[in-house]
Amino acid sequence: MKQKIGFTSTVPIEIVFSAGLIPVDLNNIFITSENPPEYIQIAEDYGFPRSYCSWIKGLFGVIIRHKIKKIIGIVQGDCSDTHSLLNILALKNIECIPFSYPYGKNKLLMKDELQNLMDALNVSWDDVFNTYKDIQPIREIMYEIDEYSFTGKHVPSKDLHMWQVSASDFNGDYKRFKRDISGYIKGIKDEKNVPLRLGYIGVPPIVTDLYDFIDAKGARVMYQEVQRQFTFPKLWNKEVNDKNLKKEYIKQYLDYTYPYSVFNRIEDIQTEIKRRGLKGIIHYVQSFCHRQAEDIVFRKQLDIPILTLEEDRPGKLSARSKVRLEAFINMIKDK
Amino acid sequence: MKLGIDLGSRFVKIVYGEDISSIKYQKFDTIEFYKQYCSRMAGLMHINLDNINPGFKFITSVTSTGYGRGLVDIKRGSAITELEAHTNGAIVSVKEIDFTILDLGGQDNKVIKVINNQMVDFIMNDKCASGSGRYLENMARVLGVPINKFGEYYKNPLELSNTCAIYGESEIIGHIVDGQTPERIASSVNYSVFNMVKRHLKDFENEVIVFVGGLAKNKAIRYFIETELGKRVIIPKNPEYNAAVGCFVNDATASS
Repeated sequence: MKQKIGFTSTVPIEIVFSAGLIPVDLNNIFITSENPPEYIQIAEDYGFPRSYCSWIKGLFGVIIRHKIKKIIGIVQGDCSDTHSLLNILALKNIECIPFSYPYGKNKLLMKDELQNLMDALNVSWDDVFNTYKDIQPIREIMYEIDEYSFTGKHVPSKDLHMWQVSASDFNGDYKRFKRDISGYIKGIKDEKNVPLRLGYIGVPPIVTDLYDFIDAKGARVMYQEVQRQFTFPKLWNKEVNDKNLKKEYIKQYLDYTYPYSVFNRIEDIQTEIKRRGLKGIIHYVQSFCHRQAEDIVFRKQLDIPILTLEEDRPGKLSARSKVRLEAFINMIKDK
Repeated sequence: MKLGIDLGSRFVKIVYGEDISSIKYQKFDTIEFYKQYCSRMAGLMHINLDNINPGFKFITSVTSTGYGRGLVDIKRGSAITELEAHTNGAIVSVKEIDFTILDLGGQDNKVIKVINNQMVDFIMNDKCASGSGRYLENMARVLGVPINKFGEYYKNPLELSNTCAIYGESEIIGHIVDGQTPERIASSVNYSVFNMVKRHLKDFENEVIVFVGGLAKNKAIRYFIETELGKRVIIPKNPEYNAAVGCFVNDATASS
């Protein structure tokens, strides 16, 4: 029986699948479960503070509740709370393989990180290439769905989010995932009345009804910044073969904007705002997250109305957020 | 006849009449209002307006706002956000077309940037009552200064590090023990409330501030805005009714 391996943020998924393991994006297990607050309770009962990132608490709860014995922890490029999480998991004798996105995007360091992970999971570059050949066509379907979302096709905000966010682990079974997404794209229909074009930047939301609320107000999220980055969009139509795989694979993880300087993200966001004709941006920030400070940079650098939305616990949108969203959408519609 | 209702956390404010030049005002304690005029049906609170005032049976359209608007069903009613209500209210109250609305309420505050009579940006602080009207009320009680006199104190404010509506009391008591006068501490409390919104008033750049909400009559806060930021402050007539006025003038087809 295949062993599961959890991870705290995006990891080189081809390496994980090549090792014959079932990848488990712990964030997705947490947020799509029937009762996400239960995982937070596990963490708070263990001693995690009330005023602490709910995602980290959720990850801890998932690991404990689902008895996950081995994880890959992103120790650079996501958040420093993960360091503390790994230290606490060591108390529970859970095997943690560290992985970093090197600050400054150093190519040699990135190569070493990939090689270290491959060595830890006993995977060769040939294995990676074979898995890449299976997985990349699935990403190509995701790129098409992404393009459809702003070119007159009906792709609800929630659907775009769910498909892209699932690119981190392909729900643990990429063959089944491919069948599901192939069926979905065939069913996408044209749309005559284009809703208000919005973009969403920042980490994925911890609340479950944000996208339905936005769509019900006559708007649509036609750009999901970080979730789209999970799909490595720069690989679209790129010619990758066994001769250039290593180079392109390293480049893929350096092109991934999220773990590095916020200015890489801004360049990406500005391009997409223009390309997609967006009228407003929702910047989601998680309570107690260091990324809240990045709001300062976004507001100074992006020339577009921005709504900063903060949530703490998993569940439904707070009344505070609903007021803000409704007012923001109406404000842009009236412009 | 139309009616605008602001279902606030402390007070329910109603504005009604045939047109804006002849509106009447009514205010209720929120809890008493819900107890007396609301009934629960199918998971929603229903307000029977006719019970509030027999003349309300002639009302043909109602617009509501406030946090209560999502919980409450009013016949003939539609709802708008507080931000839109305040913007509408300020637009009909002042001649200027570019201004920043400052709403300092009992538990939260809002700063709204208006350019050419359109809302273009806003900030709300409603997660914590730090530096809110409730904070000011609690500190006034500790100091023994009547709330209607509190706004007279603006000289030589001290820096207060804790503006929590509950835990701020300890710091105030510390200053009393240190021999500071109640007037100087009151000035410091007023300054703390101003400090909570100072950055947003600066960032939104407009020269004119339209000051509304329950704290608009606080002269000290007005003084700080004018002297520290060099802004011109306009306080509409009946500033605490601004959102209700905004509902009254709202188009009847506003989104709910």
